Amino acid sequence: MFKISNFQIYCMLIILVAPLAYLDTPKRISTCLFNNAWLAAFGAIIPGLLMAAMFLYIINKSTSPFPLLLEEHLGLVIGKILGFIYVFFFLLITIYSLRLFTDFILSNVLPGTPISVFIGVLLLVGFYAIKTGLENIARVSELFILIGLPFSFLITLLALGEHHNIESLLPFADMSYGSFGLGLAYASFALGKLMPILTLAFFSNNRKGLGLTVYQVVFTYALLIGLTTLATTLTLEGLPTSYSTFPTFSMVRALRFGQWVQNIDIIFIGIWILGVFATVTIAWFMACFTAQQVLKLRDYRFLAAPSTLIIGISSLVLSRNILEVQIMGDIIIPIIYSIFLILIPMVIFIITLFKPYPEDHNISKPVSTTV
Amino acid sequence: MRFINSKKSKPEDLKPSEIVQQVLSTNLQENLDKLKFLVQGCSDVVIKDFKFGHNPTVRGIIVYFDGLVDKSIIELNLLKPLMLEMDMSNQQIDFKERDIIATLQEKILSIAELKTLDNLQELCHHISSGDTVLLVDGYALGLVASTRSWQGRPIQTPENEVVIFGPKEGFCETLRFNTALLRRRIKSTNFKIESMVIGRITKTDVVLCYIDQLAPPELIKEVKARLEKIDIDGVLDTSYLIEFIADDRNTMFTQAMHTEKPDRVCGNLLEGRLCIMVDGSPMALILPISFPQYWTSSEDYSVHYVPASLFRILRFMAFWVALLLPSIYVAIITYHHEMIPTPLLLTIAATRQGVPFPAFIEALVMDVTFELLREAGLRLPRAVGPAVSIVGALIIGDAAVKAGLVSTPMVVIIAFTGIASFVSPSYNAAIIIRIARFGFLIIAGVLGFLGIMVGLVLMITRMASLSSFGLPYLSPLAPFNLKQITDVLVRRPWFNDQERPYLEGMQNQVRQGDNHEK
Amino acid sequence: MKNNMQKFLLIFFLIIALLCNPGCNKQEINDTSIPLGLGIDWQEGSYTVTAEMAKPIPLGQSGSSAQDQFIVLSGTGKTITEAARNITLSMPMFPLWSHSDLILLGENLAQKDVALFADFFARNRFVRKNSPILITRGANPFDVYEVKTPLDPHSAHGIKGILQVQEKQLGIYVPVKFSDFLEKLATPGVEAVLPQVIIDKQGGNSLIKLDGTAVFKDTKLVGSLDEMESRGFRWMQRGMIAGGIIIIPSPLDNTKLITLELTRSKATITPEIKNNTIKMKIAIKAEGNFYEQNSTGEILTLENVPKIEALADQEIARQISACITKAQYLKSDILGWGRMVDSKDPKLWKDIEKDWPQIFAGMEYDVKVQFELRRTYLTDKSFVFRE
Repeated sequence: MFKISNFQIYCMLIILVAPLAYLDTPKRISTCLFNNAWLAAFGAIIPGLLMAAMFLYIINKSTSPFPLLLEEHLGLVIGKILGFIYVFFFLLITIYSLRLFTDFILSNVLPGTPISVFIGVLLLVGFYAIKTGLENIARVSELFILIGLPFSFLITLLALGEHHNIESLLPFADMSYGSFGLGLAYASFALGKLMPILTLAFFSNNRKGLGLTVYQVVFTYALLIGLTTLATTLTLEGLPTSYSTFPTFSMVRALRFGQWVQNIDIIFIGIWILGVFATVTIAWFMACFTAQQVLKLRDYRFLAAPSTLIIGISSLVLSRNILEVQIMGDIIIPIIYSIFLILIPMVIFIITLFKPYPEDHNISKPVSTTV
Repeated sequence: MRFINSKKSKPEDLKPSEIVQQVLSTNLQENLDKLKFLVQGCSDVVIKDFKFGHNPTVRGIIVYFDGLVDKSIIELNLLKPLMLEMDMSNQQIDFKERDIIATLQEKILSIAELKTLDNLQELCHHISSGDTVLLVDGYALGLVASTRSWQGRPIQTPENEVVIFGPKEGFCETLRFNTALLRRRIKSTNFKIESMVIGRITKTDVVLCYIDQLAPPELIKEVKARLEKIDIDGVLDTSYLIEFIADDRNTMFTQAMHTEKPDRVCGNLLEGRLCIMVDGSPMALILPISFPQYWTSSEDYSVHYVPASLFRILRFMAFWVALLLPSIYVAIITYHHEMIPTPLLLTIAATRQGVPFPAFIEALVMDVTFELLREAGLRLPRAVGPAVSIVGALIIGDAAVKAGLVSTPMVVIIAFTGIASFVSPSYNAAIIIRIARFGFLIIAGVLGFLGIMVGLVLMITRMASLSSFGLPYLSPLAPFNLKQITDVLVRRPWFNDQERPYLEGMQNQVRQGDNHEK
Repeated sequence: MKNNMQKFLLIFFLIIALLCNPGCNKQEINDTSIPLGLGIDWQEGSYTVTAEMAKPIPLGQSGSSAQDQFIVLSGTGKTITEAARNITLSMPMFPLWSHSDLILLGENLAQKDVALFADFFARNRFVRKNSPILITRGANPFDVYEVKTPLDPHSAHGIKGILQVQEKQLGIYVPVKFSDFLEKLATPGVEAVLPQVIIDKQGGNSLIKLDGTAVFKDTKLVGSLDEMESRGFRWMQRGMIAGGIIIIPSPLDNTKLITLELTRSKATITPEIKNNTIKMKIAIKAEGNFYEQNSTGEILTLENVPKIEALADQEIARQISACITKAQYLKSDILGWGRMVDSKDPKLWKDIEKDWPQIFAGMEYDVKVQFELRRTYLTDKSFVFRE
């Protein structure tokens, strides 16, 4: 069985957590907190670290990777059923990410192209990646992070450099606890997507260093989202930020280097596509892998083909217009995410609290040998 | 044994493939008959019948192929001692008692490389490799004298790997010269050159070179096993082999590097890699390699590390330009007009007025034209080459622009792309770029920048899924290795190059002492 | 092998299908026109959208400057989108709206209500949010675009140039980006301003000229600042300002004048809240160089420099007071003092937000200017000419 390095796990987790949040989160926390939105983004470090610690604790107390881990702690029947539900949950993440991204592209870049073409093309790419296996997904994620993360920070820093009206961040910390709490929740629920670490950890070639990796992901996320929120607030001011559909995009559009380079949003989108593609792929992989482990199949790769159809069609019929997507993103998705990514792991965490640490040699491998 | 052989059937009754399996007999005439039957129709074969020394009692023959041998060696070191100087009645050498073959080997023949053989198959192989075989009446053994010498291309500067700094020798078509070039650079007995023969008909010599205790033993075993599995009638070039032994055969990303430069081979051997060479081809195969290595040139290691690093970065940029420039231009000009600064857009719009084709078709046609010119330039005799490039590039290009068939920016873009694609130090990489460029052009014409990105994702995913003999194809990038990435984008200074690039199973990764202190 | 063939066929048909895909936003440059500037006005219940379209001049003919390099077109309609698209009733080319980089706002619309157009421009992805916006006075955008700016072949580009160059050279009007304008309209406690552009007819020769700054209250145009008030407004900008001149009387001779060039200036404005009364403290720190005097005499001595600096302080303070007085007269908080109060004391702001125009009109302020003379350029002593 192959191993993936901790850096690859770092990249995969960042790619799961960050790209959609980069587009989405500044908007959501600005709606709650206006020009203090960045406080919530940086504040997300604390819940993030708690969540990371929780996941790591579960990993340390378990002997098998994620879907089997449910059976281990919750009993065979509940574990199986829950694992089965998780398959659909991961499919939902894939579908929602795909749809949000496609809607974004269509409302900003190429409104004339049929949505099916986009979804088709993206699914083709994702399908190929799943076919070639987790090891390859890890490598690809690594490359995308190497390209995408510096670029995102560069964009953000450039925007910060261009608009340095500190005054637009005032008044400082003028907010109610309720709205701050909501903002914090919005900023940190994306970190729930760290959950796949429960599976990935068992592929790591250095289990001891894993804790550091996950904490690094939390910090990178908070830094990226915090700086981006700062940059959008500085560029667009607090109130208009909450008005625009995709504030990060508006911020990028307002960038101008010298008098010559402008409207570089398409490059930004291009780089960002890399991230979204990988997000979709990893969530998709999780769905296939969970299905394989729950149903005790030989390989997960052949699941890519049937799930392509499910994902493609579901993302087409998910909603009729962007308002529905937005409402889903505001209410339904956070609730579902927090149930599956935070609440259920928390239950497991509480159960594992009363269990002893497993012996080292007990740590079993996933069912498949051809992973 | 002898008895069975002497009771042989007539050669005429048997097929050549059966005769070749037979061992030699003690009867010279019988051997001669078989041999003549085997070489009938080979007009370049020379079979000389002679009698030994002063007392001509013993008969012998020598066989060789004309043109592959050094005749002066045969005449002076073989025939002269045997026919003139040898005295059969010499008391000190009792021919009756002793084995003539052994005596010849030990005392008479002044040839460095001598060995015996006992069957026709080996005999045929040796004479067709340029050796001379001596058969003596009454002995079922032949004596092989190494007399190989033929006219070949001398060692020259390789034409397609030109360097300004650094060693300039290149391989030639003769395998032995090539291995000598390597041996001269690595004066160590740890440097192994393992030989094998591949090719049912051609019986081509193939060597596998590596440095013992540097190259991973598993890797050597694996490559040898893969080479031995090859069953083909002829190997005329090194490239034949890579298609057999590559991890993934159905990809245009070649998983081994071709080079004609011995210094480059040695550099790679010192990094624990393997090298395969084939007799008759000046191309050596280096493996395993990763894609970023295609952007290194052996010159990098001869120039000071600062300019060398800058050149590498330049080449890296040229790679992207050559791959993507036409498609980016098409994407921007048909989909993302807002990216172009307004004054530039006005200029482009002005030049495009009256151009009848969409930008996509225009780019496609121009790119194909460029490839045509390039291909034509390669195949043409030297004397006509410049004429074609003048007619093609200057006259057609200029006329097309003047006639309003093509816009000027497009000509500039295609020309720039062409120049950038010549920057790649490796021909293999250049081919990949040239083909992938068309793919990107098509997808950019359909989906714009989004399409380019999708194409890139596909390409990256494909490349990341490949491996070259177990080494991931995008190796220091993915899987990421911070230490080695510095030796990809830039050239690390020699005094700071403490470790060899990592290969799976490598035992000795430290390559030098601590040279930081002056 | 068969498998490969299938894959190949699949990819082949995919490419063919994609190539036949007609729905993409493909737009060949040959079939497009490039709007350089947009104008928008409101008259008798319908909108007029004006666009200045560039005419690309083919290579080799660019020398013939007699040819106009642009055409101004306009369309009217009941909504802005309809008006803009009505332009295509008479134009065969597809307009690439995202290239227009100037917005002219008609006076009529501004007097009526700018909210009428703000939504369209904010929502539309083709509008560059960082393009400068101006208001036309005494003319509609169509006429302004028709006037050719000297030396620049495109008037929209010309107006943009004027806006930037005058700020560096003269330092009167502050260019306003559309996004800033929008933000000021949306944010409570600050009112929007826009530079005004007029057509200056001199002996049959029309020229475009910047004249005054339009002052908004909420979303309506309520008045304008003249040149001196505009200068005063510029001093109180957020962040650093650079460039521009100050003219002061010579300390040696009251009738003669001195020109100083501003190199940098920064305003620090803080509200001081005591017993529910708010007082604004305005502190200006400026640096400049001596540029010209229209007399002779040994003026640059150690004694005189403080005098010059004091005179400059006075002049700057006078301009600032003029601006504040006008703003208070118009009851329009163009200086963003309300927002500053909000930042300083959000609770107090919530109480007084409703009555802010009245409070603003009666607010006290305190101006402190500190101008420092740094350099004197090529001569440090003045020439004394023979009488």
